[in-house]
Order: sequence, then C-alpha cells, then structure tokens
Amino acid sequence: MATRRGRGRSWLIYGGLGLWATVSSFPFAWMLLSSFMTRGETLRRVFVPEKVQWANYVQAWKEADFGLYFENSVLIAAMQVGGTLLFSLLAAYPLARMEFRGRNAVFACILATLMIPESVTMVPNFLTVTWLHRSSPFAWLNSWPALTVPFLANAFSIFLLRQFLRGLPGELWDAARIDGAGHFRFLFGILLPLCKAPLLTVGMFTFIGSWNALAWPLLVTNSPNWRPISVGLQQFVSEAGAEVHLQMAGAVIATVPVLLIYFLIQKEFTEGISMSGLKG
Amino acid sequence: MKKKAERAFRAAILPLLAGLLPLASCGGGDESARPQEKVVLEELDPSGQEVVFWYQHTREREDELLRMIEDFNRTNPHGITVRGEYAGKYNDIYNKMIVGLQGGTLPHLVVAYQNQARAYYQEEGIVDLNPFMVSPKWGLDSQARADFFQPFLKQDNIDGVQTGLPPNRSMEVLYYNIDWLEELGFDAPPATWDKFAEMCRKAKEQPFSKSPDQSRSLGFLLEIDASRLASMIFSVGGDLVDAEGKGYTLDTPHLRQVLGRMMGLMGEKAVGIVSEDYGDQKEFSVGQVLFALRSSSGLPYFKSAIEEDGVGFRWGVTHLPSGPAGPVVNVYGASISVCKIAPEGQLAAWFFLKWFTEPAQQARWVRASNYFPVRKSTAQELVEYFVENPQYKAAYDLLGYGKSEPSVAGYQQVRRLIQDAMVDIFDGGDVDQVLERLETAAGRSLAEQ
Repeated sequence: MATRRGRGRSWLIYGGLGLWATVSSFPFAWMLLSSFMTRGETLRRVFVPEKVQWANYVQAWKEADFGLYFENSVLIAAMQVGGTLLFSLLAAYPLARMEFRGRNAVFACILATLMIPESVTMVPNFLTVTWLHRSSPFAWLNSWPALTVPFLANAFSIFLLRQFLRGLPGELWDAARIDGAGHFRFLFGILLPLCKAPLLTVGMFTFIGSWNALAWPLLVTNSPNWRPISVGLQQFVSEAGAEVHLQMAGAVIATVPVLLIYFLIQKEFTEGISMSGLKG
Repeated sequence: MKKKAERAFRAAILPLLAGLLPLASCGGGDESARPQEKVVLEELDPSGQEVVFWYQHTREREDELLRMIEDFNRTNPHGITVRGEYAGKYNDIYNKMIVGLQGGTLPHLVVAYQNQARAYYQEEGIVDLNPFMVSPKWGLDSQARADFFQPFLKQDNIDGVQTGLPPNRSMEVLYYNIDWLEELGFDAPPATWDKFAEMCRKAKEQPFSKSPDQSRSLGFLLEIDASRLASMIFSVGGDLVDAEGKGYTLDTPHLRQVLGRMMGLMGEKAVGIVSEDYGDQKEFSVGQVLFALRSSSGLPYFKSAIEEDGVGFRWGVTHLPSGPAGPVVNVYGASISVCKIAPEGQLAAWFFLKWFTEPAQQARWVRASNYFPVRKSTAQELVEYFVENPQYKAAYDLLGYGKSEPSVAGYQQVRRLIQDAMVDIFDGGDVDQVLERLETAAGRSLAEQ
C-alpha cells in the first residue's frame, strides 16, 4: 500500500517536472522551428515549417556579418572568463583562508556591491574607461580592454569561490606548510585542482554574461571591429518590421555555444552551485 | 612561516590594489571640447575636418546611407570626411549620449527624437542650429528655408532653439484591406469613428475569404503604445499637452472617448490587443485583421509581407477616421543634432546636414528608406516613385494634416506612463482613477525635468 502510494507520488513529481520541462523548453522549440520557416510561415504563425529552410542560417550569417561578431564574442568571452577566474580566485582565497584584520568588513563590502544595479555602475565604469583611454599608451575604447577589464572580477564569483574554499579542510594548509609551501603554491598547486566545479560554475556564469552583453559593448565601441554577436542580432529588427525567421536563425546561432558549454560541464555546474551553499 | 607567506601574498596584491585606486577618482568630461568663447561662424575653416555621425539604421538603409556618405566625402569641396557609425537603437543612442556627455566622448552628429534632443540641449550636449541656418556664408538661403515643410522644422524648434534638422519624417497611417472591405459591403475606408466601429464589428462576423484561419477575424489590433494612442487622440481633435505645449493633459474627454470606444469594441471582440512585436502587421498581411495602425516607414514591409509572403490582396493607406475638424495625422521622426564639440567640427557637421537635406539627396534617401522627404521640391524628383508606389503617394498626400507629439524633455518617461495606464484600463481598471493618476504622474515627471 505504502509502496503504491510512494509510486503514485513519484509519478506525480515526475509528471509535474515533465510538464515544467515541456513548458520551459517551449520558447526554445519555437525559436528553433521559426528559424527553419519562410517569412510567410512566420506570418501565418504555423508551428512546424512545411520545408526546412536551411538558407535562413546562411542568410542570417551573411547579412548580419555574424562571422566577425561571433569571433569577437568568443575572444571577449575567453578574456573575461580567464580574467574573472584568476582575479576572483585571488580575492576569494584570502577572504576564505587567511586571518587578517577587517576580513569580514572587506567581504561585507564586496557583498554589498551585489545590490548595486548594473545600470548604476555603467556611468562610473565608462568614465574610468574613458580616462584610461586618454591616459594609456594603448586604446581602451573600441578595443578589447574596455570590453573586458571592467568585468574581470565580480562579487558573485568571489562569494561563490570563497564559500567553496572555506569548506575545504584546514589540514590541507597544515600539510602544505610542512612541505614548505607558501600561499601562492598552496592556492595554485593544491587548492586549484580541487576547485574544478566552482571554477567551471563561475566560468559558465561569466561566459553567459559576456555572451549576452549588449548595452556596454554598444557604449564603448563605435565600429563592428570589436562588437559582439548580440549587436548582430539587432540587425534584424528595424522600424519597418521584424524578420522573425532570420532573427530566430541568428538567435539559434548565438545560443548554440552557450548550450554546448552547458552540456559539457553541466555535472560540475550543478555540483559547484550546490557546494557553494546556494539554492536554485 | 605563515606570516612570511602572508607578507609575500600581500606584497603581490597590494600594488595591484594601489594601482586601481586612482581610477576611483577619475572621470569628467573633456572641457577643451566645449569652447566658451564667442566664435564668428563665417571666419571658421571646416577644411579637413572628420565628422562622426551616430545613427540607428541597419541593413538596406544603412548600406544606402553609407554610400551617400561616401559620395559626400568624395565630392564636398572642403575635404570633410564623415564617418557613419551604427550606435544601436534610439534608446541605445540616448544612453550612449547621456554617458558620453559625462565622459566627453560625443560624436559630431547624432540622431535624436525631439524630447531627447531637448534633454541633450539642457545638458549642453548639442548646439542651436539657427546660427548655421541663417549664416550668410554657410547657411540656407531664404528659398531653401522656405522649401522645408515648416511643421517639420517647427518640431525641432523648442523655445526658439533649433535643436536639430529633420532628415526625414514618418507618420501614423491606417492600413486597410480593400478586398475585405468590399466583401463586407464597403467601398471606402472609414471616414468617421462610428463607421470604423461598424466595419470592425462586421469583420468579426465575416472573416476575409482568403484568410487561412477563418476562426480568427478581427477589425483592428491596438498596440499598447503612446504613439498609437496619440494618433487616435489627435484624430478626434485632442492633444497630449496644453495649447502652450508646457503641461500634460491626459485626463480629458478626448482621451476618455478614444479609450471608451476601444474598450467597447474589445468587449464585443471586434478589436484585440497586439500581443507580440509587430503582431498586427503579421495578422493584417494574412487577412485576419481588417485595419492596422502603423508607421508609414513600414510600407515596404507591408507590401512585401502582403504581396510576396501573405495571402495577397489589394490594400491601401489613409488617415484615421476624423472628427468635425477634419483629418489629423501623427507625424514624427528623429532629427539630426549637431553636438557641442569644437566649432570647426560643428561647421563641418552642418555641411553634411545641409547636403543631406538637399532635394537630390532627399530623393535618393526616400527611395532607399521609404521615409518622407523634408523639402517640398523633392516631390519633383519622385514622380516615377509615386507612380510605382501608390500607397506611399497616398500617405505623402496626408503630410498637410500633420501634427506632432510633445517635444517636452522627459516625454519618454511619460510615454511609459501612458502605456502603463493603457494596460491598467484595458485590464479592467477604473478609468477615472487611472487617468487621474496618469496626469499627476506625468505632471510630476515634467516638474522633475
């Protein structure tokens, strides 16, 4: 009896989750199907295209100069991910493993920045970048430094890594000290290999943030040379009307890298989130 | 051991932090780019200047604009070089300008709606174009000035300051399905709002014969948008601002009349609300909606959507049904402002602007963009275009009935308030309370400017 009730509950849970998954994946399915339609089919709002229009992808790629934007996005995201991992780890380590006066106050200040909306930091960031552009021997605006440097560390990444590092046993440090290791060697030689899951999680979040950015890249660039793929997507919406089939083909192209990376690291991603003590 | 390791770590990290500290105090605009002394325009030499132009156009329009810029660069006698830069949509450009004003990174020319231009002017980001326009050496002669559609110029003239020069204009027009109207027993678009309501009701009862989905048939889809509402208010003789254009009037009999009519038709299921971007365009082009209220800049899209990808029918454009005072159409469009940079740069930017509004360039831009020209004499160069595009000609003929939305700074926020109020009302909110709140909030927004 109890088993039957338990089985019934499982069915209910799985049924609910299945329904939720179906509802959640509907926008993605719609995007994918629309990307294979003719414009007439998008106008008639059919759900499945009569004939798959692969040409939409070719057209979207060519018309919006996606090749260049794609390359830019990959480079910007790679620099941001690399920088964020390095600087966030360097900030999280002392906050988690070193005793110094004001440690908690520093951590509280870092956490407080989480409450500042991005739109508020945009102007100070822009002023800083402009000043650097004028003072530095190399260009910041219209180039990769403006697109990456302001985002090379963020409070959430520091918090996530700090939470993980705090959970590691203190004996590791004692053992490392006996072997003559300093903090840098301990961090990069011993802790780093243990941090795979949270680092991949931070990397994933940073990658998504960088990949989807639009407002900031538009502010600090004036030509396509360093503009990301999100700017390319804008090309398909004009005052006259949207070309949904091309827009969706572009959206699929832009989404594929994010999905691929997520599928490759989803186990570590989930692990990283759960180990940080955050709830989904 | 531990202390030694900590010292080493700090030794590595602290210089990094110290290096970042000065950044916290940096910022501020480039004051050298804002000359304070009085300059005599006629004594300036614009030779060799490089002009940066921020615009919002993409694809075909951008391609043609860049070709035109190339032609200007090749042919202008002063060796001025214009560099066109796509800077995002209107809101992106506004953000870029607001941030650029503080960082001292302004272009020479920027596309701006009137309320945005007013905000830039208040922040000393753009200049008054009057001195350029009347300059005996560099300006427009009286004939050229008179050739502009004066209401267009007036849109950019705020308290005597010419904040921009219009490169083109659009208007809100009523697109209608001629074949369906005939099936319903009408031989002309609606001249009055009562006729409009009657047609919508009939359309609900009798779907268009070519519609692929006979279960969905509507007279009209209303978009939750301040410009759509403004067009309807204008058509019944109302306005969004008082006679002096200084204060908002959003709790008026005209507004109630318009909203009341739409609510009534929605209650009868003869009118619906647009639920996706360009949803009304889509449904109109497949014959599910009898009327669509949209910008004339969408004419090419409607044409190709109906004739190439839609169900194919005869269609036309006209003004909204009118009140006793006759037709009024909502004419709008962003203008181009000259930013407050070095005077020589301003003059060079003016040269391009002047060149772009000349009839030959205007005609070329019309053909590429389908916008309306801003100079009357352009029509002489568009005779063939009018024949090839009868709907464009029909809309062009409505220019004489133009009226514009407020150019008050902060109108963008009020547009959002209007849209929120529309949602509240169509969602069953109390009209009196919502409109009262709207007018108060709009007044507060204006006072904050």
